[in-house]
Order: sequence, then C-alpha cells, then structure tokens
Amino acid sequence: MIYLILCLFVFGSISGFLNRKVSYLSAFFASILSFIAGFEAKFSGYIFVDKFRFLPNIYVGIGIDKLSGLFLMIASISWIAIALFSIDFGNHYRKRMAIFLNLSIMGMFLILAAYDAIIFLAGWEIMTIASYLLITEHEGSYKEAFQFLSFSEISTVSLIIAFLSLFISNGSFALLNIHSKSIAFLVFASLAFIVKMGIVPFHTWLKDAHSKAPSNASALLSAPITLMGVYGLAKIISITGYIHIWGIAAIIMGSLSAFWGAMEAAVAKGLKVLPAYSTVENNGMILATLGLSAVAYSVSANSTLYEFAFLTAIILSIAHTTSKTLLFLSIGQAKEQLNEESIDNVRGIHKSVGKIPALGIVISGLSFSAFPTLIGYVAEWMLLESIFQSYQFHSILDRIVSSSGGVLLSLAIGFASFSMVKLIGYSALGYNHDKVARKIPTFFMHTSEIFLIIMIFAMSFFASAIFLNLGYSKFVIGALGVPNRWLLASAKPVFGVISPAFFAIVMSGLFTVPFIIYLKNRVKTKKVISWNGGLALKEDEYFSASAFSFIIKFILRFVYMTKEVERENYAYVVTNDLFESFYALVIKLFKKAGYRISHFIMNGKIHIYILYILVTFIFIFIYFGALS
Amino acid sequence: MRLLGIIEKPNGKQLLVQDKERFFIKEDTEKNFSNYSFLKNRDKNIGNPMKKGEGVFNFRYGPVNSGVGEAGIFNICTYGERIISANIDPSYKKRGIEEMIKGSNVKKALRLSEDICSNFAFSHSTAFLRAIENAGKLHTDTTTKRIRIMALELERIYNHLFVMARLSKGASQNVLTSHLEGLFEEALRTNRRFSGSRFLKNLNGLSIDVSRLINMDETASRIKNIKDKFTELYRHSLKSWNFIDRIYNTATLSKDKALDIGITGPSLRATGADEDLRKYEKLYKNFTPRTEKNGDALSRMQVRAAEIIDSCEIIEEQIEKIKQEKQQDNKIDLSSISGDGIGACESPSGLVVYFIELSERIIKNVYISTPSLFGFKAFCDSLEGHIFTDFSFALDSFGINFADCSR
Repeated sequence: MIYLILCLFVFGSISGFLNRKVSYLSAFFASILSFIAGFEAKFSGYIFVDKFRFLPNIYVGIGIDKLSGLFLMIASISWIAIALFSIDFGNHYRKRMAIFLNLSIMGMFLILAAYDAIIFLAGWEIMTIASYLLITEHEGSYKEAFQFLSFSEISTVSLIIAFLSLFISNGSFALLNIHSKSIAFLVFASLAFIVKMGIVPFHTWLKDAHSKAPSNASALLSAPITLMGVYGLAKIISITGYIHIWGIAAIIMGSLSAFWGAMEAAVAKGLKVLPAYSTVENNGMILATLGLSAVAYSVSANSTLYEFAFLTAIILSIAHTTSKTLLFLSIGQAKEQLNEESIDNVRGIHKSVGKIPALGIVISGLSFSAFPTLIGYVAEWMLLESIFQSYQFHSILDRIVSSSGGVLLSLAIGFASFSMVKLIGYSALGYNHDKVARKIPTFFMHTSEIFLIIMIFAMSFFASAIFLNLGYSKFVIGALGVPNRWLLASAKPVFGVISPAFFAIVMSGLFTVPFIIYLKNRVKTKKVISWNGGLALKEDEYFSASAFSFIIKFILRFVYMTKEVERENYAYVVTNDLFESFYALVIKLFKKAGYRISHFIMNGKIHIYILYILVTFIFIFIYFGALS
Repeated sequence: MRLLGIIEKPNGKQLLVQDKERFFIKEDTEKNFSNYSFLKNRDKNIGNPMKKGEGVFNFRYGPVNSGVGEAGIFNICTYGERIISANIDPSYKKRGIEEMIKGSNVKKALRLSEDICSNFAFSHSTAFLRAIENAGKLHTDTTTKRIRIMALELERIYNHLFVMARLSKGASQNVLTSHLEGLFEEALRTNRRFSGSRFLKNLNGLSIDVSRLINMDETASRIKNIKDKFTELYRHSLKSWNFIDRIYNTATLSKDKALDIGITGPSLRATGADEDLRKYEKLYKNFTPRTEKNGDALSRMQVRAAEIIDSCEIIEEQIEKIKQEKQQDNKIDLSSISGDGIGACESPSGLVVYFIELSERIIKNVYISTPSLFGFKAFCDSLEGHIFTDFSFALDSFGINFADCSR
C-alpha cells in the first residue's frame, strides 16, 4: 500500500502537467490511502519496514510504526480536505500548482514513512521546496517565499547535523526502534523541528508566507507541515527518552510562543495573518505540553501526568490540524471570491460568499476558542488540567517554570478567544458589505469544508473512543451519571473530568426543544436595515476590526511597539512584532556589512585583486596541506 | 476683537463683532477672523473634518442615543479608543426660531427668545430686550436692571450646579452628585418662588414691576443656604482624587486657541483670560472675573464653583439695594419704535448677543449669537487625542447644549 500511495503521488505530480483535476484527485485518493495505512499501523499493529543497502553499512527504506501511523492519520485528514478543496480552488491558478501540491504532500508522507534519516531528509526537502514553489504561485510573493525557504534551510541544516550526530552515536541512520543519548542530536533535531513549527523566535516566516500564499497552500503550511515538526519532536522523545532539562526548555519556549502568538493574533488585521499567529500559539501549546510530559516523567514515572500531558499534545495536534485546515480553507474561499485581504473588507461572508464557508469560520474559530462540543474544547481542557497537575512537581525550578508557563498559556487561551471572536464577528457574521462575490465552482470546496466541520464535532463527541484506541484507557471512566467509557479523566486517581459527548447530548436537548418550539411558533417578522442612533449606518460608520483590538494595542503598547500616526487628514495605528524588528535589524546589518566587504574586495584596483588571489591560494594550500 | 457672527442681508454679509464691552457691525470685508469659516457653517457642521486611514471610522453618536440628551449628532472619528477628530451636526435640533422672530412683534419675539433654550431663557430674553432698548434708545429703570441681574445670577447658579453635578456623575461620585442634584433642585425651587417659573420664564420685560416679586426675603434666605451648603460641598469635592483625576488635563484649551475660536464665559476664563461682560456693568459693584490658568475641565469647573459663590453674594447685594431703592415710574412707548440694535448678556456659559433690525415695532431681521456654538467648536478641538471615556467630561465641562446652538 505504501508504494501504491507513493505511485499515486508521483502520478498526481506528472498528471499535473496535463490535467489538474486528475492531479488533485490523485492526491485525494493517495491521502485517503495514507489515512488507511496510518490507521492500520496505529491500531492493527501493522508495522511496515522495507529497506535496502544504500552504501556499505547504510540502509535506507520505508518504515511505519505506531507513532508515525498516528501522525499519518492526523495529517491525512488535512491532506484529504486540501486536495478536495483544490479541485475547485486550483482552477484559478496555474496547472503547476497541482504538481507542487502533490509533491509537498508526498514529501510529508516520506517524512512519516521514513525508515531512516536519509529518506526523512529527502522528504523534508521535497516538502520544503514544493511548498516554496506553492507560495510563489501567488503573484508578488517571492520575498515571503524566500523567507520561508531561509527558515526551512536553517531547519534542514540543523537536521543534517542532528542525523550526523545520531550516526556517530549509533553507527546507523535508522530511525525506527533505536535509542540514543546524543546531546548534539537532541539539540539540533529539536531546533530543526521548532523552526518548522514556527515557535518564537522562529515564527516570522509563518505570518508572511501564510498571508501571501494561495489559501490551499496556507492550509498546508499551517496545519500538516507544522505537524511534521510536532512529529519530529515526538520522534526525538521516542529516541532519547524523556529528558528533564529538555522539558524545562520546551515549557519555557512553548508557553512564550503560545502567549506571543495569541497576543499578536489579537491585534492582527490581515485575514490570514490572524490564523497564522494562531498557529504559532497552538504549536507553542503543543511544545509546552510535551515539555510538561518530559518534566513529569523525570519527576515520577509512576504519575499519570506524563502520559496525560503527552496525550494532550496529541489531542492538541489533532484539534489544531483539523480546525486550522478548515479555517484557512473557509477564509481562503472568501478571500478568493471577494479578492480582499483584510478582515474589515470581507464583512458578511455568510451573505456575500455563502453559509458553508461562514459556518466553517465559525466552527473552527469556536474550536480555537475552546467552545464546548468541539475538539478544541477537549484539547484546551486537557491543557489546563495538565498545568493544574504540575502541583506534583517537587523542585522549585520545576514549580516556577510550570506555574509561570501555566500563566502564559492561560493568558494565551484568553487572547485566542478574543482574536477568534474578532475574526468570526467581523468576517463570517459581520454586517454585509454589499460586496458581490465572484462566482466560482464551489462543490468540492463546500464538500471539503463540511467534511472538516463534521470531523471537528465527531472527534469531540467520540473523544473517549480516541483516548481508548490510542491506548489511554486509564483516562476514560464512568461516573456522575455518565455511562462507563464516556467520561474523560485527567489523572488516575481522578483529578478532573469532562464528557464532551454527554455535554453535547444535554446541550442539544436543551437547545433542540426550544428551537423546535420556536420554529413552530415563528411568525413572519419585518426585516429592516441596521440602524444606530435613529439613522441607517453608512459605510464609514461600521466599527472596524482594528478598532476592536485598539485597546489591547494601547495597553500593551510597550510590547507591541504601538505607534499612533497622524498626518494631515490621515491617521492609523502601527504595531510591530518585536522579533520582526530584530530580524529586520540583522538583515540591515548584513546588507551593510556585505556592501562594505564587496566594496573592499571588488574596488577596481588590480593590486587588491592579486593580493586577494594570493591570500586565498595560500590559505587553501595551508588548509589542505594540514589535512593531508 | 472677536467675531461673533455673520449676518446675512439682502445686500451682502455683515460681521457682528465685539471689542471689550462694545458690540458693532462691520462690513464683510475682513475675513481675517480665524473663526470665520466655522461661523459660516454654524447650522450645518461645527468642528473638524473627518480623517481617513486603515481602521478609521466615524463613531456616530446621535441623533437618538441614550446619553445624548438632545437631538444632535457627534461624529467622532476614531481607530479605536482614541478620538482623532470630531465634529457636530446640530441640524436635528434646529427649530427656526430666528426665522419665527422675523416678522413678529416685540412681545411675541420676547417669548420666542426664551424658548430657544430653557436653561439660558433669562439670558436670551435679557440680550433680546437690551437689543430692543438699544434700537429704540429706550431708558430702563434701575430696579428692572437689578432684577435682571438677580435673575441672571440665579440662572448662573443653577446652570453651574447642573454642570458640576454632571461632571461628578460622570466620575461616579454618587454622594457628591446626589448633594449637587439636591442643590440644583433647590435652586430651581428658589427660581419658582422668586419668579413663578423654575426656568425664570415670563419674568423679563422692558420694565419689571418689583411688586410682582413678593418672595424677596425668602429668596435671600434660600440663596444664603445654597451658598453655605455649596461652599462646604465644594471643599470636600476637591479632596476626591478619583474625581479630580478624571477632569484634570481633560479637554484642555489654550488661551490662544480659545480666543481664536471666539469662546467666552467660564470656558474662556478658565484659560486665564479675565473677560466678563459683567465687569463693564455699573450695577455690579467691584466685580472681578474669576479665572484659572490650565484651561482644562477642572479649571472650568473651578471657575464655575467660584462663580456660584459670587453669584449668591451678588443676589444678596442686589436684594438689599432693591429694598432700599424706590422703583422709578418708567412708561415705555413701543408704538413707533424702529432702528437697529445689539444687545448682549453674560449667560452662564458665555455671551448671548442679539442683533435686531426693527421697523414699526416689527422685527425685520435678527441674528442670535449663542455661547454653545463656540462651546461646541472648542469641545471638538479640545477632544482630539482623548479617549472615549473623556467624552462626557469634556462635553459637560463646557456647559453647552444643542438647543442653544441650533436655535
């Protein structure tokens, strides 16, 4: 099946030259098969390994274990939706987009199905370069694409160093069923994966690349590609085991990243900038929970906290991948049909574009706001429960780090709700702009969005089943009138409980009966235009999205570096991401230094050239002489 | 020199100008007055143009909103909490009273002038009557003048108390607000006992018969009571930092800006200018205008507080004088009254000025300059850069209203 999947991706890439629909359909079927392969690996105990000798003592090949099977399933949900969505969406871009999409997904598949570091790296680079090319499909996005590529190559170089360290430590490039205590591997592999996850301070590429990339590419970049980083971290843990200091560093970086991402999302104006920062926030949460898991294990392997925190990271990954794919696809449809880029300019998507993309924005946004009955609610409940249980830690360092991280993560949850309320309120549900959406085929787009909406509800409703099938039956109980196997517990002995399914049944009961009564007794009401103060609102009288978040920009002006600019009849507010300013300064210094060095070397004087050649020759002569 | 208005005439425009206590008409040849353009548009839009920019929108407040007491629109240009520009649309309150006065006789026009704005009713009627007196070169007896002074000061007291109560309410100073509102009600009841009207309507005339005012002693006693209570209350109010912080440095107006706009009254005096029409009137003995320096909402409140106490003393003094003097017999013949006249009066919030053209007892033309017009312009200018929560303090501190502005 693995080779069939690979063949389908290759076929999809080649058929992209001829017929893009065939190409996207090929990616769609390959993604479905990937899900099945992942399911079999995770739940049927099916472990596939097929390797061959590449160089003396070096084997390369394909291999799927339970961990990669799990991540293959999570990523496949996103791939299926993106491939399906692209059948309609891709019509507005060049044919080659289908090629890059197939290649990018195939790269991810190779990462998850890699038996060894060489195939892993090959997959990593295929994914990176194809994604880079996908971003460039949007006109005028070369700068952002190059920024993405730069960060990706930092990641690749770190991975190469990490795998070389692993080879030195183990004498093999194999990644399945191995153990290593190499510090260099731990450090460089962690760096490579957190760069890919967009963890602060390596997050700036996310915002720029997402806002410029075509929306299906944005969904790919934000959900499954950053998931590869999470998979990488889980792989590190499986190779090195839980390391206390790594856990401490992960909690600090993760919680800071979650807080920073949520805070920047709260003031974002761009339609795709807000979800991009939300990705930084969610991946920060995932990293922090992996860190909590490591610290908890180091403190006591008997406690259930390390298992629960790891499970939290998995559920957060599922919630993020599904919801973020839906969010980017729904927003992408609106952006494409309205040809607008700011939140303010797409008001009233439910009227102008359609109810399904609007519902997609609402459901994904509510999921990120931890709204009950959605998967995000389960994930964030688990996150908070993990933080609360850090009272078990004994050392002062662990307690300070976990409680400070907990504060930042809680603030992040608050900021995230604020930003999602803004996004939902202004884009999906806002007052209609009277803008006419461009008419495009939407059948596959809507199918994809509905599929993800159902998944978000279903995964919450059947969260206990997911727990059980992932092998965490100790966290599924029955109590307080909830039948056995339907109540989620955060520890054993019980610490905190929820039952998303029970809650959904009660809520739908409470909501459905009044709703039916309302429908039966509904009378025709007169609809009038919205008014304020006795007059109809004019176009320039709607409360803007950036005004909604101005109070945060003002109160936290030292963090946002808020500037209120007024020029004659023009006024606006500017905020800056501190890290972007830092990178801008670094780029400026490099440019300046580059200019000066080039000016010094290439100055048009022949004697300087001769001197340069001589010095270079002597240096090479000495260097290679020393080597020999 | 201060430009107070631009008078439309069939043969062109003329300027209504003030120079200290002198009011006169100039030909519309000099457009060097900085407030010329806003006075030209006084019935359409007062304030500053809207700004543009990302996220900038017009937060329209009014014409019918809770919190907006009268029908009028505040257009607040903002990108969030910050007010970057503001202007006023007063047209919803326009009742065309100036037009109704034209063609009316003096008696009817007097009542119409009182109806422009009830809380400045006596100031309007006084300015109107002074314009009539100047047009017809009529003599006004001293007792009538003293009664007018009394009524003007009564009007000042209740208006200033109202402004202070509003400021205190905005800062949630509930105890202080209740006391001030109690005193405000007491002041209105005193008006009623004094004149028969809570808003001092139907009292004014070319000659006021003192025998109508049967409760002079009671008025004196009530005013003394108000003065004593207010003095104590004001002393306590200045100790509340929560209150003072909200109005300190809020909606600050510099002296130069105030003079450019043409604003008068307590708002001007709060910037340090000691302009007050009362200091040129002989019957106000040793009158010294109250001034402050900062020009902010706190300074405006301080000026008003000091003026409440001053007004109480002026009323007590005038009652004593009226008791001592005998009213002169002053028969006024309006049968052939004609000519132009300007009348002015220092209302609680600044100058009310009437320009009137009379012909055979009938008013042919009228131009009314009101303090709220200038107050709204000053409010818009001083509001820029502030945040929404400063809005009520800024507005209330100027003691202005749409009825007075829009006539």
